Amino acid sequence: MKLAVVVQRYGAELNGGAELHARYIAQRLARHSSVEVLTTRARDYISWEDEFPEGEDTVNGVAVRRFGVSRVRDPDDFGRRSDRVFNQPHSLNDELKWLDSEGPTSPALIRYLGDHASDYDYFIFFSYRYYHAYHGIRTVASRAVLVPTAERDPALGLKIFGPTFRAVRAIMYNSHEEQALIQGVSGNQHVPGVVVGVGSEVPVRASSDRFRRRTQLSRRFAIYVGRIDENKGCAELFDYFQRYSQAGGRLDLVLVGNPVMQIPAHPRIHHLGFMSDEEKYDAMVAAEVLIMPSYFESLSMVTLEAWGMGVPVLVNGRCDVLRGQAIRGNAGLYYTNYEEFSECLRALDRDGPLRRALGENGRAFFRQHYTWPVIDRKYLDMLEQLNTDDRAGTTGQLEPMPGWLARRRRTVRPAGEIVAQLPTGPVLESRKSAS
Amino acid sequence: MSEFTLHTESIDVERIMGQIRQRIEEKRGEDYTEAQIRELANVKIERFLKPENIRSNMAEYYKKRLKEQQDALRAAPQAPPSFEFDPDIIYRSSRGFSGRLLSGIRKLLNPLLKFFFNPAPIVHALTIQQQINERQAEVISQMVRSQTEFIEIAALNYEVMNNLVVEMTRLSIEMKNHKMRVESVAGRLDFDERRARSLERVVQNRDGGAPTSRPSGDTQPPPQAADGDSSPRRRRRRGRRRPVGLPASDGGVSVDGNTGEKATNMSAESAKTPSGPSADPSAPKEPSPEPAPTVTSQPSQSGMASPPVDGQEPTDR
Repeated sequence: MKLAVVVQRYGAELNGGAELHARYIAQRLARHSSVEVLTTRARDYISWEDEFPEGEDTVNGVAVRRFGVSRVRDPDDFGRRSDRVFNQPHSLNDELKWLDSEGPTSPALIRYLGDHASDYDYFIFFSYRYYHAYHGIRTVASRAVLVPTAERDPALGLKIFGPTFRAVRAIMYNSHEEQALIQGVSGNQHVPGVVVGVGSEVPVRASSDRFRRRTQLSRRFAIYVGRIDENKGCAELFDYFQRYSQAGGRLDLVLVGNPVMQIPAHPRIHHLGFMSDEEKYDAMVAAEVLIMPSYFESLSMVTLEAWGMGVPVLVNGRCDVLRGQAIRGNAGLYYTNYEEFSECLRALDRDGPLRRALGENGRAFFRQHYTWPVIDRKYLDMLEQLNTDDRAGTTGQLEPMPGWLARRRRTVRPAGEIVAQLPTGPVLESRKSAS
Repeated sequence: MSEFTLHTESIDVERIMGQIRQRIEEKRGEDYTEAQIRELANVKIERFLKPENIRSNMAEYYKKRLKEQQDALRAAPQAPPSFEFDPDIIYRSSRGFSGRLLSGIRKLLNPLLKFFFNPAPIVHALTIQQQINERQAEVISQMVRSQTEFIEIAALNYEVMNNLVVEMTRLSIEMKNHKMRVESVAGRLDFDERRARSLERVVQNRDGGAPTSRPSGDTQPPPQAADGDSSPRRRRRRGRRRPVGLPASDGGVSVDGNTGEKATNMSAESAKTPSGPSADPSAPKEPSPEPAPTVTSQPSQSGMASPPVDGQEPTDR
């Protein structure tokens, strides 16, 4: 079986969520099949400027083919178009222009897909919202498998993506909440789908002593790992933590990751910067609890890693995915305001049995759902099922694009309005089966 | 916070979150967040305004008006410059030499003009109007200045008033909490008194209805009690006797509400008195035939005997 992983950026040093996810999956599937990655030359996810050399490359043993981006992103234009399609009645043409403006606009990649569709058995597209996925799926819909990495953001409500979700052969969801969102917005229940997520390899011998020797931190602490960014909920985390600390909370806060916002100068907030994987895992195992303050996550790999190491988590309850996972795994607490944040942190700090029980549940949840053999199996089973369907003559059907005039009618509702009407909250019906 | 009952295999995050939320709800009775206090304060401002038959949205209206006034003053168009007027201005021309020539011709023909109508009152009226305009402009600029100052003061007043109401709300909440605490302490005190009384009754009953004490003035124990082996009564185990001069208890308050100083004095006096029936807390209940300056325990405010000063219960059962 020959597979193509199609993703907006690809590189060993790229640590963005979907890109890292794509790299892991490509590397894992390469053990079972012939895998080639089709991507752009972009390194920066804001400008999409061509930086990698064009043509063929190899990253960690996986063949990569890169295509040029025809235009860099104009942030002002993208902002204006986003405002129009998210907040105002608009036309399908506006949405298509928004997609072009978002990028990475790579007609060469789409042409290649069309020309070489028969060279591959299946194309695994990552991130539904980008140019490569939308046009790529329309080009090779009958062989397309989608890993949407969708979050509850207004882009999900754009009308152009409905046919995409309905046309692909299969969807590999990251979480039950993501599945509910996509099915709610597109009505694609007939498309085969499975909640997979991504695996992680946590070290067996992480050492908290090593971390404490290295950092000279002797106090007990909660940890945050990831980009220190307001969009990740860090501003709220700092506010809550300072209030918690002022109210007599005993835990310190350790931050691991690169900052893109100002970190408040506080004697009990310790920023350790970017760390190697070994150092990161040492830090996590030394922590009492991992805090994940993000509002929007399709799947938090750091949370999964914490569970893999038996560390309980405290997550933002306004993120349906994180809250759903914490509840389904019985492996973490969640907060939706300061009072809950403070009480949960106090409970996790003072109640050793609770902490240990949540950590153990997290470890079991991780082993059951997020170890690589489990993930590999789900992908291989799905591809096998598609192969069987192909032999039986089952193929997907792509809805035709509306006509020139219909595309220009301003009758499409604002995407933000559509997303706001989607059901909220964690998906708990599958709790028993998941845990 | 160890109130969670956990079984690792059956841990339920939602149940734990329910307990946490319950705790938060309970705490909210005592502790209000800053936002909640401000919310309450806003409600109070409106309540305060309503009885005066002012719009119920006066607070909002007031804030909005202040801002509008400030904006309006900032955005007010500048008055045009004052026009210098004099009686000859109606004859002048600004066209250089030809203008001067024209002006001369106009002056020459002025008598002819006056033959048709009298321009003097118009000139006079315009002169007066110009002076009036200048004065008005000055008055208006003064008014604008004072209005600006007034708006600033009003904004300050509003802030002060708002802060006062916030503080008042905070204080009223604290007072409410303190009142609740006082009620709680009073309840506990009442309970302790009743408990002590019932314990005394238990001691009396166990003694078979026999008189449990001798007159309180008798400081010497009977020989039986001193020996202890031949007495039909059970010997009471006394709590560890505190050395003279030590505080009464950790909290500085003895069980009957006396201060540590009083309890210390009592302890000192107790130390002088050998243990035995005379030290029995029920002793003062017996009517004392004569004044008893060396009594080992004193009746509390409720009339009951104080328990031993170190806080131990009267019996070791």
